Amino acid sequence: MIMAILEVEDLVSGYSEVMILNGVSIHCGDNEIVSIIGPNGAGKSTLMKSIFGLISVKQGSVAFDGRSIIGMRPNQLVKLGMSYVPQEKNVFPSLTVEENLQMGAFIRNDDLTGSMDRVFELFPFIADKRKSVSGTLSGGGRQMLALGRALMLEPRLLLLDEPSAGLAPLVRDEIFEKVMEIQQSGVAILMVEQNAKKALGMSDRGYVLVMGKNRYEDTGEALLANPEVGRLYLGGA
Amino acid sequence: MALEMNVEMKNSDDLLKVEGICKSFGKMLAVNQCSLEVSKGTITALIGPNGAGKTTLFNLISGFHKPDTGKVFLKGDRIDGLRPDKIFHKGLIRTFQISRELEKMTLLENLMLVPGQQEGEIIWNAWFRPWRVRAQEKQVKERALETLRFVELFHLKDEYAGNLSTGQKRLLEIARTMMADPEIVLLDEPGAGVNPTLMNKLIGYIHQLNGRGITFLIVEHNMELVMTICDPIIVMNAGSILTQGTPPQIRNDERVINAYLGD
Repeated sequence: MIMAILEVEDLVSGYSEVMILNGVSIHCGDNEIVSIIGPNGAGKSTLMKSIFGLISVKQGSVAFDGRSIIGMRPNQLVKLGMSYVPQEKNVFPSLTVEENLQMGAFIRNDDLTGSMDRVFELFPFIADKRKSVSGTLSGGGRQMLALGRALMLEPRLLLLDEPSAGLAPLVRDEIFEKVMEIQQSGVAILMVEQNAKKALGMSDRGYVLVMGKNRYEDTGEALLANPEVGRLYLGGA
Repeated sequence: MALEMNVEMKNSDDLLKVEGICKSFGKMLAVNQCSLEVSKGTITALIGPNGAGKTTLFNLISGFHKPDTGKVFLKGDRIDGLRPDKIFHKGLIRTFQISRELEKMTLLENLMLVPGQQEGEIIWNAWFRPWRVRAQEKQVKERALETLRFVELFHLKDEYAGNLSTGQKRLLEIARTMMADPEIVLLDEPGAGVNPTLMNKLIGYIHQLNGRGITFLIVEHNMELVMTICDPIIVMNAGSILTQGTPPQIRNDERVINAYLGD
């Protein structure tokens, strides 16, 4: 069995009195790509936010590298080696590309050149625009920058909330390729995706979430081949 | 042949008709050659994966965007290019994904300002025929109170709308819709962020209003709501209409399932 870098058990979480997650259990192995898919309102983004300490968890456990992280804030989690790319507003539009990357490394006091070079090597597109204000980037460029920012702390686990949202098909495919490259460099990836086919196609394993609960759990391939998964999107029980 | 006749007959009931409408934002073609018909008396659903163009299509129909090409007809009259308020007075109203209540007004006030062409809006009447203004205002107020009773918000009539919960705002939105006395209502995600109890209430209200003759076109992600009260269901994907059918037809349509899973 692969050592799990992230282990979530029976998670209950939500906003004020409305619970969105009603007992979700997932795990992500060291250097795995794991996708979470499911219809709108299933609780996918809420799961990400709960793991990253942006929403307080009501019940259940979340362990990172074997250690409970319940109640920890994002600034503590990034120090442990977890990074998060939100779906929206994931760059500082008034700052340049370079400044955004520096912001990603705000807790580091050492020389950032090496990390920044690696980001630019992975994303030559933004390397050419390092002095540009990031608000002027295209949707794809912004997403690359957001990924790059999250990599500045050289995390061991990357949480991605819908990396392909709002992108044209060609750009989307490019982003997914980069995500694979990031994984190959030794980073575990937990990803929420709207595009279930693409996400499962590149994932080691996947989970289907419905109404705040796990419904299916399997390898990406097996989930893709399961006709019930598609029906869940159209309200089939 | 039989099919053609069927189409002919159906057209005579078309309350809303969209013909070959297109809309781009920069290089992005958000709505591409969309045509659809909404028959009088139906609760029609418009569904599709995120980014399919549903809200943009709503904006085009209700006058919040101007189409690049194509036509929109309401009861046979062209309404594309008209301002939202003109379209409103022709009997088509829409709600928003995020409720836009007037926060610093009470619930009662929120409802009382909905009906158009009130006497008091004309300064001449306000000064020289105050009795007419008063009489009409009384009528409007009674209707507003009755409407608040219908959506079970009567006890909050003097509360500021800004103090309502998300669910209560959704009910206020329904109430405002009723005050407008529309022929057709475009609902944008009425079920978003609504708990199951309130969801059942909403479904009940939509049913009752439909029984009074109001036609609905609903964009919604909650498939329970869509599959229980809507027929037909129109499916959009990548800016175009993919297909249309009854709930069982849509539920078993491989193309629809594929669209939801992404390609």
